[in-house]
Amino acid sequence: MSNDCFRLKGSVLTTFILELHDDSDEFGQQLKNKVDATPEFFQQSPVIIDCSKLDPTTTDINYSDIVSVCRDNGLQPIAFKYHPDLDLSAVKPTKLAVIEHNSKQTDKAPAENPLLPANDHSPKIINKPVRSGQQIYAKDRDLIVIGSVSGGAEVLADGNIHVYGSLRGRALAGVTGNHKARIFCSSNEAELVSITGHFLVSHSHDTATWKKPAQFYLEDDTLHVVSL
Amino acid sequence: MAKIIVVTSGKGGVGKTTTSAAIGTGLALTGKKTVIIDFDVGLRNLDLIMGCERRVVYDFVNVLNNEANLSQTLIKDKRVNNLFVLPASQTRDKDSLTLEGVERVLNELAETFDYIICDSPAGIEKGAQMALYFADEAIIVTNPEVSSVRDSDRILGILQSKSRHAENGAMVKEHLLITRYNPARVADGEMLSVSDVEEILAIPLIGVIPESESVLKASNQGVPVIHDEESDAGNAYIDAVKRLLGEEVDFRFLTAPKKGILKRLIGA
Ligand SMILES: Nc1ncnc2c1ncn2[C@@H]1O[C@H](COP(=O)(O)OP(=O)(O)OP(=O)(O)O)[C@@H](O)[C@H]1O
Ligand SMILES: [Mg+2]
Repeated sequence: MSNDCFRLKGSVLTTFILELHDDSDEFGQQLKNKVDATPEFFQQSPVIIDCSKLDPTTTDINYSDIVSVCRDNGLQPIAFKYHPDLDLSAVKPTKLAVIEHNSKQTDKAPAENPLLPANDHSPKIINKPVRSGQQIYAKDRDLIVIGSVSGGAEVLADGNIHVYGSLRGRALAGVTGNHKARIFCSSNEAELVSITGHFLVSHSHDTATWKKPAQFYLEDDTLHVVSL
Repeated sequence: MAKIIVVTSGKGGVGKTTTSAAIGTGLALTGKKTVIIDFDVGLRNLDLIMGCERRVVYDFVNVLNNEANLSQTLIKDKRVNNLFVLPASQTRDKDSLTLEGVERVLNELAETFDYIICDSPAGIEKGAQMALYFADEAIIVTNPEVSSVRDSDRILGILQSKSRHAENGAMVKEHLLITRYNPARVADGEMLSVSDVEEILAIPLIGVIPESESVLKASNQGVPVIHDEESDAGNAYIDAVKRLLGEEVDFRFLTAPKKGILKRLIGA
């Protein structure tokens, strides 16, 4: 606890990525429908607006409108992800940060992902409960939690996540794009579960697995939950 | 070897100071030389509950700033031998607390005391982190409701990552104390039960203190509730002190007193 005015710390922040496919007038209504379905979940969530999938030849995209639509729906846009061919000057007035789209990283096919299963990436093992406010990230590997993950805690892994206690907080597997990543827990009471950004929040869960041993996996871009 | 015990909760107003006063007094009553430190700089509450507010001359911050020494500052309890209070200052600002300063004071106290009880301020910021940093053990004070349990969970995370023991790869011994427990409201589903709280926090239970009017009466009189032999809360604290010292004691006051048949008939 020194007297320095600040300290720079590394951190991993979970945000939503809003991947725009079409800058049409329906965007506002569609976003509203999505947010209305689980309003408290999206409350003031930071979001990155990904424009890299938009047709780079379009010139008349109104970025300020996109930002207002997000704000009107209770999201907090923090940055634009853009395609290198897209005209940047139009983004400037929104004063949001811009992140260059890294095509290598996101377009990686899961089969080519060398990380799973891998012999030289032994899992990260946590021997105690993960408490509210804590965040644990297993980079390039699986995560094993021997205790419970509390409500308000967050566990992330590039690989699979195993929780041998109750999963009450948030679990995000395959965060760098491994679609084969799975999440296992002894008691499913999760606030949120996500695999490569496909997520389920607690009240949208299949109630049959609630408070029971469960497994989450992706199939056809949909997140499934089944009893173990 | 002195044991340093922090009484902490995250959430405010759950009963930390009441508990520090009761447990500290209880330990002293068993013959252990005990000091209770008020870490709530700027508020000052412990001295009121201990009934020694008129005898405060110097305070914790004076000692930290080398403006007074410990023997000038420690207040000896009027009722119990071996019991002392290190009061907080009401006026000075919290920035006087530094890890180096606190460590120096704790080391000096550790030479003569068996138990050092640190009454933490609310929150999870600097003040609370300062109070828990040097702890060997922690009493986590929790009310049986969701927000209090969530905050206790957070403080447990901080305890096992940002304390001296944690930084040296060791554990701080954890004790759960549930207070303001109202069995009738638990039965009606308005409050979490003891087992609900235990299941979420997953640490050993050291005491369950019932919600009791005797606590308010005790603080108004400046007599820690553990002195009140008639009081259920006082007796529950006596049990908690025994468990802290390693004794096995059955839990009391977990169920609502049964209504007599007549009362039930007339619906009272
Ligand atoms: N078992 C109990 N039954 C009834 N009232 C209680 C009980 N325990 C504490 N209280 C009351 O709750 C209030 C807060 O208690 P206390 O000051 O001990 O909490 P605290 O956690 O130290 O608060 P702060 O965070 O402000 O330091 C007081 O009015 C006290 O009388
Ligand atoms: Mg207090």
